[in-house]
Formats: sequence, C-alpha cells, structure tokens
Amino acid sequence: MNSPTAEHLETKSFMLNMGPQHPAMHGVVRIVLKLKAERIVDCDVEIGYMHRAFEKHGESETWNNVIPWTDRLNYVSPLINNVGYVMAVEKLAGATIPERGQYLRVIASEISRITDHLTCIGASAMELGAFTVFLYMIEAREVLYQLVDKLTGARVTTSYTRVGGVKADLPPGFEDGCKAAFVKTREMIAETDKLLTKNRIFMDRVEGVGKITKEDAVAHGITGPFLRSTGVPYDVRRAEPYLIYDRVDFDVPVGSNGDNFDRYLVRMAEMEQSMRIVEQCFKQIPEGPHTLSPAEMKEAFQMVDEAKSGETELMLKYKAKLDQTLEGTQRENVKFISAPNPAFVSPPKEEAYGSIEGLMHHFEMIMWGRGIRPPHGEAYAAVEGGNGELGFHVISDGQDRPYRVRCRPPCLFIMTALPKLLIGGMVADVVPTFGSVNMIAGEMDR
Amino acid sequence: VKPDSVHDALETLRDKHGFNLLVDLHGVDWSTASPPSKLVVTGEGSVGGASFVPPGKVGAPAPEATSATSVTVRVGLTELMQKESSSVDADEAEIGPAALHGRKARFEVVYRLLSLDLESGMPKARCAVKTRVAEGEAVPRSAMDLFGNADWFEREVWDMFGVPFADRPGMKRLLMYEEFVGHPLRKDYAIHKRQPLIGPKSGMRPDNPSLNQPYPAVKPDDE
Repeated sequence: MNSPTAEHLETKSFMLNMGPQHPAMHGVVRIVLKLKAERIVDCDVEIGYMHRAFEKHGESETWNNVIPWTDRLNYVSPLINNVGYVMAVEKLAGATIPERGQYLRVIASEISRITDHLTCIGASAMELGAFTVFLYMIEAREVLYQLVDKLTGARVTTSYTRVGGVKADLPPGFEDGCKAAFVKTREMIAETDKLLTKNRIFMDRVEGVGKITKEDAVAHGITGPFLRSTGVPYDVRRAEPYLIYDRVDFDVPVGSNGDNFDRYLVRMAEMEQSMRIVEQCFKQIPEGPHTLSPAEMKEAFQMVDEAKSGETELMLKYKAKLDQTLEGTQRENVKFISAPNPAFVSPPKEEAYGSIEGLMHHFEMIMWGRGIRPPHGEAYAAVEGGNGELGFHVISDGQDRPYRVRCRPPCLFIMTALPKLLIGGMVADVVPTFGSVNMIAGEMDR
Repeated sequence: VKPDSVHDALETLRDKHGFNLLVDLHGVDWSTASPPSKLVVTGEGSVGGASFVPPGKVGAPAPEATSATSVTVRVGLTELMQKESSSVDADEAEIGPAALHGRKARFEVVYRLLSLDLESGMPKARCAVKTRVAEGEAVPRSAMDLFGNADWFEREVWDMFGVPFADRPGMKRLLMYEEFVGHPLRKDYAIHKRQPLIGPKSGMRPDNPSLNQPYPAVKPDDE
C-alpha cells in the first residue's frame, strides 16, 4: 500500500492517443487525452477522418442525385437522411405528397430508427465486454435490414425517397414481414433488457458516468436521445410534427440524470415507441392500389418492343410487370405515393415505355441540365434522426442542382461536448461514454 | 445584421428572448448565384417558427407566424431591431430569397437559433441571424463565449469558406487537414481539384470516372 515516501514522489501527466483507429471505438475519431495516473485532466477531440465532401458533392449533383449521398451520412439509419433531405427540397419547391407516401416515409424512418438504436446499444455493450448483447442486437437488426432490403432494394444504401414522393410502394407481404420482424426485435430487446438493465457489472460502468446537465447539453446544441436523457423532452417528431407524426400516438421517453445509463434506457424505450408508431401506421395507412390479375400485366420488355414497332394503342391499359428493383413504381402505385406534379416526379413506367409523352417526360427528368428546378430560395427542414435533430438547409438559385446543401449532423453537436463529458473521469470511462454518444463518422464528417 | 453587431444580436437573443440553443452555424458562398428571373418567395424558417425580419424591408413579405408564441417573439425581434437600428443596414439586412442577387459581400454566415423550453421540450421559436462578410474580411467577434458549440462550427466555417473570426487565437481547420490548400466549399474551388499532398502535381485528373461533369452544367438553352 502507500509507503511513506509515496507522496513525495513526483507525478507527471502524460499524453495518450486514442484513435483514429482503435478497437474500442466504433468510428474514426482521434481523442488525445492528457492523463494524471488514470484520471483525464485534458482532452482534445480531432475529427474529419471520414470527410467525403458531401456538401461539395451536393452542389455538383442534380437535386435527385443528392439522395444517394445522403445514404452515406448516418449509415445505420439511412432512410431518415433520405426523408430529411427531400423534405427540405419539397419545402423549397412547395410540393406536398400523398398520404400513403407520407405513411411510407414514416414507416421507413421508424424502422431505421430502431436499427440505429440497436447498433448503438449493441456496439457500446460489446465494448464493455457484453458480446452476447451485440450478437442479439445485430440479429434483430439483420431482420430489420432484410425488411428494408425488401422495401428499397438495398440493406444500407437505400435511396428510398424521391423529391415529391418515394421510390416504390410497399412490396407484397411487407406488413406481415414487419410484424414477424417486430416479434423478433421485441424478443431480442427483452433478452438484452434482462442481460443488461439490472446487471451489476454493466451498471457500474455506465451509471453516473459521462454526466451532463440539461443546461450544458442545450448550450452545446445537443438534441435527440442524448438531450432527452437529461430530462428535456425535445423531440422534433413531437415538437414540430412533420409528415403524419401528429396522427400517431407515441411517448417521448426521458431520463433524469443525463448519464450513460439513462441514455441506454432512453434508447431502449424509444425502440418500443418506434415499433408502436409503425404498427399504428399500418392501421391508418390509406388503401393502396388493388392487385391486378395477371391478364392485365405485361412484361416490361414486351411493352418496349411493342412501342418500338408502333403498337402503342392499348399499351396504357396494361400494368407493366417490372423486375424486382423497379417493383412498386407502376402507374397504379405512383398515384398513391408521389405528388401529382410532373415537374418533380418521374412518370410511371407504363407511360415511359408506352407513350411518347411519358418517354419525353422521363428524359426531361433524368438528363443532365434538365431535371427538377425548384424556385430561387432557401429552406431548412428538420427531422428527428437517430441521434437528434437532423436538419438540411438547401438553397436553390433556380438551376437543376442545389446551390448549397448544408447538413446539420446531430452527432457533431454531441461531439463538441465530448471533452466536457470526459474530463475528470477515468480512461476506462471513455469507452462507455463514447459509445453512448453514438458517433457516426459518416454523418459527423460528412 | 452587420458583422460588427452579430455578437450583440446573438447575446440579446439568447439573454432576453430565450434563444438558448444554437442549432447550426454555417456559411454560404454567394459568388456564383444566378439572379432570379422571377422572385418566388417560399417560407423560410421552420414549422411553427419565426423568422428574423428586419423593419422597413421591401421584397420579401413577413413570414406567417403559426402560433401565438412565435408572434410575440417576432414582435420582440422587430422591436429589438428598431432599438438597435444603428446595427441594421437596410441593404445588408436583407433576408430570404430576395437576397440571392445584388449582394455586396461574398460570404454569408448563418446562425440558426432555437428557443427551447427545457421543461416541456417544446420549441418556442426559431430564428436565423445572417451576416455578410467580404473576401478576406473577418467576423469581428466569435460566439464561443455565448454557445459552447460555436467553437467547432466557427472552425468549420474557416475550414470550408476561409472566413476567419477575428478575436479567436489559433484558428484550426475542423474537417480538413492542416496541409490542405484552399477552402473547399468556395465556389471557385473546382470539385476535381487535387491537393499537393495527394497529387498528381498538375492538379487535374479529367479522366477520373467518378467525377461528374464539372460546374457549370450544360444549360438547356445551349442546344
């Protein structure tokens, strides 16, 4: 133990470099710590290791071509980014989309929110040694990713929304698939709850660690689950309801201590709320198109061939039978999911294949130098992302591409407060605190 | 507002009007914006939010306030602006779409604020404070002492646009590395430009398949 001479020993602080690549950090960020024994006395956070010039690329792409870039912002909940961006553009252009399209966006966003929280909890539990939790969470996430895959054609690079609507209608059997996936997700969340919530080892690591007061959180511009864990029930979905969030009933879970444990609890509770929202959406969603009999369907290639030989008279009476990636973009669907505004929305496939007007319209939408042209102006739209208020500020100068796309990344704001959270704590606390921030480098560095 | 009075405006908004959350701070380079052929006014600001409307402004109508609280805040702001009329330059205080053309200074710095009620979690109002600075000019006062997160975002504005904040010592880039040459979000920074650390030295690689057509695009009337 303490020898009498120990207090006369000279102590020196030393620097420790964590990251940019560190096994206990998910995401590329560099934290330089100044330590006195195991206490952190100073901390410097360096970011930018995953900067991909999203905003610069946004200025050189057409309005719709920016959507795939937004997938790469927060890559564990890409659908929310898709929705946020197109909402800003629609606000600028003054477009409103049909109800069914709005419900589809909400369903997609909420499924994404669950995957986001699952990843966050799973990864941060794994970093504390709870590898089982990680596997459970990833298993549930996989089921949801498969659902997203069915809906959008991709697990992560979704690009589901379009200016003025969404890409495609619900695939057949989606609702049942969703119900089955939620059963699985609930099971996994319950298992995790049993494993972690009253687990002494877990609680010792997270309870009372990484504390922040609500005043400090607000001063740093923090939103989302992180702010709610401090006791401020600010949720963009509730505060400024967009799409159809004012028609669904959901709770905004809040914590009280603003520590890592509360953030874990808030995220756990939010997943249940997201599932409730999706279930209500399925009850409320307006009827979509009826299913046509196979006699009324025609293969897409057949339509193109017939159109080439001039046999277009009866063409528009048929429904195109499309391949999997285009499924749900037929005329029947488009009128339910996209705004009836030809200036923003691509024509349904039947018209593009079967009529000269549709074909011209299609080219008008996709050719360089053509496409959507929102009027001069600027708009800011915010949605509730996985980590907080995800805002897009778009400026148009009347061209076919944005003049400026600014993304307000929620986790960057949390990262500005990271030194505050870490200083005074132990080195070992960096890992759970950083995990609960849920930093997504793709979103933070853009 | 004029660059000199940004700090005062932010301080007044924060202390007297309860705008406690800095939602965003970013820049815009207006150097290549084309003048609008027809002025279309779209509602700036957000749902249920108020916008920052200077008095005696022509061009853009006042945005509609959607709730009683935001009306009061807007009135409060207008009064604030009248009181401090010395800080308002009629030309420079333009806001919204009308301001897209005929501006004097190249860069705009936007501070987006939110007034949040900590108990109910409901936002009372939103507003944006905008200022314009010319190339090489600095925003005189940093907002670091008002909002904890302004530090990083001012660094980002410097990094991306090269707009400095005069009273900040040792401005560091936020996203790019220190050896980076230029400021990438300036409109005169070509998207295909190469950096000396990365090369090639000629600076161009026109055959790169990942690059889209360079700015400006082919205009439809070029046929």
